[in-house]
Amino acid sequence: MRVPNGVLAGRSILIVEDEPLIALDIHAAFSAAGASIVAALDSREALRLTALPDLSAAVVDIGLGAEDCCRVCKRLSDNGVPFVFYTGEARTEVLRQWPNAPVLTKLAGTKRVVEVVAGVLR
Amino acid sequence: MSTASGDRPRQELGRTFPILPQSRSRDLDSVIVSADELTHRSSRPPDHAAENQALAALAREMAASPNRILQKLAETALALCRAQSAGISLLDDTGKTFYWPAIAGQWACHVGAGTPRDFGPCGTVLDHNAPLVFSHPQRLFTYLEDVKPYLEEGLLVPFYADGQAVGTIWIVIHDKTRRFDAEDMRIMTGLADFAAAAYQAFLAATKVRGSERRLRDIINALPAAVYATDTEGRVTMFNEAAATFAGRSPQLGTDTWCVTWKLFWPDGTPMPHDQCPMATAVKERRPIRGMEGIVERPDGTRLRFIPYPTPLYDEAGAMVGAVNMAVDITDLKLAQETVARHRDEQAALYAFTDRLFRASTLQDVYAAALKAIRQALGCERAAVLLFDETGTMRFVAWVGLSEDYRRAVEGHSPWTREVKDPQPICIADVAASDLPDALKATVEAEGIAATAFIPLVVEGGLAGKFMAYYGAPHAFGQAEIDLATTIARQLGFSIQRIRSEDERRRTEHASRLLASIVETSDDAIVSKDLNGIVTSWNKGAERIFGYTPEEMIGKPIVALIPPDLRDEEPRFLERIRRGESIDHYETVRRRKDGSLIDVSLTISPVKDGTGKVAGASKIVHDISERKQAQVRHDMLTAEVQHRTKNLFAVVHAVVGRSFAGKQSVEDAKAAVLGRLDALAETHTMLMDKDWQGADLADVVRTEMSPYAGRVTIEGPSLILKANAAQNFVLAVHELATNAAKYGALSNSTGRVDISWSRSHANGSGVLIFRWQERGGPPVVPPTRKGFGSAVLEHVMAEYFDQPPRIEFEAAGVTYELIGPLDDLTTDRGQAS
Repeated sequence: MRVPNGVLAGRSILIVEDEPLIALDIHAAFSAAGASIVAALDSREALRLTALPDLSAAVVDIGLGAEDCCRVCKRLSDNGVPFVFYTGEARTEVLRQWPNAPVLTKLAGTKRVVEVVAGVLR
Repeated sequence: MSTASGDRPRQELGRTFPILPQSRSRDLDSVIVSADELTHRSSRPPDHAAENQALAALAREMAASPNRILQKLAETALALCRAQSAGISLLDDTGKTFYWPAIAGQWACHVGAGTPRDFGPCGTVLDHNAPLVFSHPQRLFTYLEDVKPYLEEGLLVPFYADGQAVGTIWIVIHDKTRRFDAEDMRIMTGLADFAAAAYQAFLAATKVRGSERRLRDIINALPAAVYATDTEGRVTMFNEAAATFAGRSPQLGTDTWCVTWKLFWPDGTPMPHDQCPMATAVKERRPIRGMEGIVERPDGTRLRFIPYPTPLYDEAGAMVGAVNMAVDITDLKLAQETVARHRDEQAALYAFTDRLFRASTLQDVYAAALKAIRQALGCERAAVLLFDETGTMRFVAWVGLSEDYRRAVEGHSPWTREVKDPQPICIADVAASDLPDALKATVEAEGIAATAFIPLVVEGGLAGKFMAYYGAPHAFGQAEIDLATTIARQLGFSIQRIRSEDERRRTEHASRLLASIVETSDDAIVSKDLNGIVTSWNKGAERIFGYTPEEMIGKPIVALIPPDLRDEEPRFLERIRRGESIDHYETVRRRKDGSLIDVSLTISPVKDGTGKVAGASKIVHDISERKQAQVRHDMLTAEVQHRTKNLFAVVHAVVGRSFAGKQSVEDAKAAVLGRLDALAETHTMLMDKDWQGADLADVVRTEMSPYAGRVTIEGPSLILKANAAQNFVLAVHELATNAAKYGALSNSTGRVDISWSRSHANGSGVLIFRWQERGGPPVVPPTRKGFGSAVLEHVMAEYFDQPPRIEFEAAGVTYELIGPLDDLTTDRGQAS
């Protein structure tokens, strides 16, 4: 499924990812889709950024730590911000709490992440 | 016995003259010719020559053959008196009867007959004590009418021995051709003297004959066979026992040396008759003693005997022959052999029992049994068979049986296993038995003609059998069967004993093995009773928990259980009581020093002899290492998975961002490959440290190794976290690539100095990293910001509180990072 440029035009995406290179990559992918990006590389930053008013969606890496991750997800959920898990490890205790959130492993690739987020926002 | 009584048969040889009551009808005198009348009869002249000749002959005869003298005397009387019959009358031992031992002439056929003493001519003569002539005496003595030819006249003369009248000598005329005269009287009176002498001789001979007869009676009465031969070996006499002994009637005159049919030496070799002990005795003229022989009768029966041949001599000392007594010792021999056999049997039984006592293996037992069977039962071949696990009768030991035979008859059993009191079965003649034809053929083909099956009972049940095999038909006696049964009983006991011992040894061995396993086990192996009291404690338990056996045996096992897990024990005991096991239950226990240890428990119920649960045995396996290893493994696996996924994402980022800019595909490709190489190097370092990190010093040195000689590297060892290491290598790679393209490493004189250090500021560690180029071409700040810049500026910035300081001074590029160590490393080492 090819995402035409700008499919996420006007959208604001929060990326929560502790590995800067990967954050860079995700950032580039969502930018190419027309979205504006805010990135948090640690949970403190992430919690702060969840308060942003115009967030369309978030991509959350569970690698932050289960507790932190849950707190971030809760905030997002409370604010009605849909999110997608993009992760290198499967922390079932976190995933279980948000069974409706799509889960993508880091093998899926950034293109796929963009697709899924676009799907969620449709 | 009176003459007037009725019939009175004579016991002697001869006929009976019954005296009839009417015999007394005539007067005695009427039959006697008086002496007067006799003298008036014309008398012939005496013939002295004839008389002398006759008397001389008589005298010679008396000397030569005394036993014939009476007959001669009668013949002489007959001849001299020209009578028609002549004879002798003698009184028998009873004195009541005369008998006629010798008669010549026409009355010769009446020899052996006789007359009564008190009523007859002879008796009258003795009564009158004088010779008398009788004329027709049967007129008075009517019984004489039966004596033919007719008695016309008789002249009787008495004769005496030792003053006693013992008989008469008489002549008889049967017709009227002549009458006796005085001459006859004279001759006869003279002959009466001879008769007396003859009588003495006769008596002596009779005595001898009587003695001989008595002797003969004695010999006949003897139970032993007695016979005699002359010097040529011809049998001259034998007794009844000899005929029975020989089983035939010995032939006098033809049988030589022996009265028997066939003779054999004790060893069975034939003994020719002329070599028998009797023959030797006669030929060598000496008694033979100490020999034994076997006689075979015509009916085939045989006897064992001992002969006692002894030469016989006459009064002159000349050998006249020999006498032999053969004593039948068959029964004796049989008894001796029976005793000997009994002795042998006892010896065999004793030897057997002794060997059994010493036997330590079943093979010893079987060998002893086979030997005893063959010895005691006298068979050449034997075998022992037992039921195997499938209930099939199998050979376990044998002597002299072919493999074919064994294979053919294996499995055959005359009794079923359930039979309570199996009895021996004897087949005295296989050929005549009612065995099935196929089996019979097999048995006969093996050369077996008789066999016995003896049952073996072990622990009250039929366990097998032993067999005795004979090459010829064999009659089984009760004694043999009893012996075989005794052997079977012994064999049964011994098999039982050996099996018990083997069982015991196996059990002991198993016990010892088990005990050894328990002692040498690394695991704690502990047993407890149903109250949770420790009853055994192995070395492993001592090692794991720290308590010695003395400290734990007899104490409750709850001492090992941490307080918060105390309810495990009652739960376990509950299940154990029900007969259940607990298998690999993971929990925590406490050592003597109080430290906790992760363990895996396996608890099994222990039953007593009756099958009731009496306690439990517990294996405590220390799993702390495994748990640690598991944790480590899990962490490692998670880490690997994480890193792998991360790596793909990182590589994706590197490749994606490397091509994002406007450089040529060639340049982009070179850049990507260089960056991937750097990542690969770091990856190796991370793997070496199990993903826990990589040393900054290694990262820098490896990345700068192509430029060795133009680079100085100074800095302590510092283990960076995985992410940080990846990003650091990319950063150093960028710096080096830029320096090589545009900076200090692009000409021949430029150099790079890399250094880092750690220090403390405000209570936390700080890392200062510095890249300094010099001697390179004039520095021109880059216009484009590609991936490399992104790494150097943005990526690295995330690890430090402030962004890196990048200076493009004319002397050379400077890149400096200062930031908290916390994000970079877990290493809390000292400041350098």
